[in-house]
Amino acid sequence: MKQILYIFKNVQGFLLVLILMVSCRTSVDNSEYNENTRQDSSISAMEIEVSEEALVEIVANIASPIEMAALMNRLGVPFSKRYLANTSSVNDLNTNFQMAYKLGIFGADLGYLNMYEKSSAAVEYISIIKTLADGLRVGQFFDYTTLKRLATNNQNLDSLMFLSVHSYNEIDSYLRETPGRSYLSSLMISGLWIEGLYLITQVAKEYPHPDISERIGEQKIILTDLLNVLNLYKKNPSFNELIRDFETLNVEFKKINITYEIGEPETIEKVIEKDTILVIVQNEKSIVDISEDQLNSIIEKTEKVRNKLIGL
Amino acid sequence: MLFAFLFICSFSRTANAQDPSTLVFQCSKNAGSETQYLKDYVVKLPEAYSQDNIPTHKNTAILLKNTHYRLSICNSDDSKGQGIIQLYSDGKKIASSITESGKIYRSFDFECHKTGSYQIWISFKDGKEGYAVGVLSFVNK
Repeated sequence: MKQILYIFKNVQGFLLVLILMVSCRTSVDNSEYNENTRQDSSISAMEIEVSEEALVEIVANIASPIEMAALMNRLGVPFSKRYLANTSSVNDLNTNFQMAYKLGIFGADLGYLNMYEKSSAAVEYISIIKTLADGLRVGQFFDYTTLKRLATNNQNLDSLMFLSVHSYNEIDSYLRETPGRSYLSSLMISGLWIEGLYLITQVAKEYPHPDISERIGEQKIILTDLLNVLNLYKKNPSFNELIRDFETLNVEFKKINITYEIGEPETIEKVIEKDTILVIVQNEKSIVDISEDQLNSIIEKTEKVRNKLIGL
Repeated sequence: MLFAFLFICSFSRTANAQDPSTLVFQCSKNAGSETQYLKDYVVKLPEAYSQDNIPTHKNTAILLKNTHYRLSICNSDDSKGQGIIQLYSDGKKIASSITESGKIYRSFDFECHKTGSYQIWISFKDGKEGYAVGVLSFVNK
């Protein structure tokens, strides 16, 4: 009898551990499930028609506005707060469409601020982004406390930059891979892209430079990809309007001619900081042919489209 | 009992592979202080069934003319295979972190002169099972 009780006690203990482990695991699974199933009713129905795989492939293909800001900085273009979107209307936003789009807009502005090391001004944008990310239930990917601390203390700006870009990548990946929420990723990317274009076109107006004109002209390639993504959702009236606005820009971009020169890449070894690395120099070239009139039309239309969209 | 539960729970967490965010952060730091992180690719691949069909993680990215990019690869501590990162344009390989002689570099630089869509491939040497992160950054300073 004593032996039976001993075995029973051990089996009971083992079962308790097992139950606790299973409940521990299922609580994680349930929270993932709940997050995944909270969809936006207005857009989820049409999402069925969208191939998620195709979207992942296309959206991952859109360039980051950080490279735009880096070019401005490298050319010695001074920082201007006038270019940035106003943060005051964020609390009035009430649709996921608006929030996702603005998350992109303010993300591009944050990239611009970070690139110019304007960390104290970045604090306001970090707070706004946190509000929007929480509104879209992706706040868990935006490490607000650390970002705010880094920006406020004006310290470790490399980490601030890394964390900002990484947070956006995490949000984007999560939205793209979550059924019923990938349309939010395409909106965020649209916001990032139009604000990046707006920043560089504003710079082109005041500080014209061939490298800036070329960078603007190259956006023809990116806009084509972006429109492919947005067209997946064209049955939604809000998306349809966004597509129409981007199409007006596309009319101007289509006039730009991009040609290519063929060449084989060269590989050389370089020693950097006692480390040998391979450097591949591409000898194939793209050449953007953009006239002053074309540039001015793009500057003007970008301003109109962006200002209309930030007023939504 | 609680002790045993906490031990088992903590073990079940640490038994998993290295945290991807930590690995990405480390890899972007390894890329060098003069670089700016742009994107990362967390890759876990099974062992190849045959050497003719090595599992490969494929991504696309638009790279811009007159930009100096760095593509880095960092293996997780528990990865059996050594990660290899390669760059393709229009289906043609233009750069790789492994040389023809089999030497593996932890990164390579790419001086881009053509704006367009590129494919970034990540696989493991000899098709071994592996866990690594690839980081795309650009040289900014």
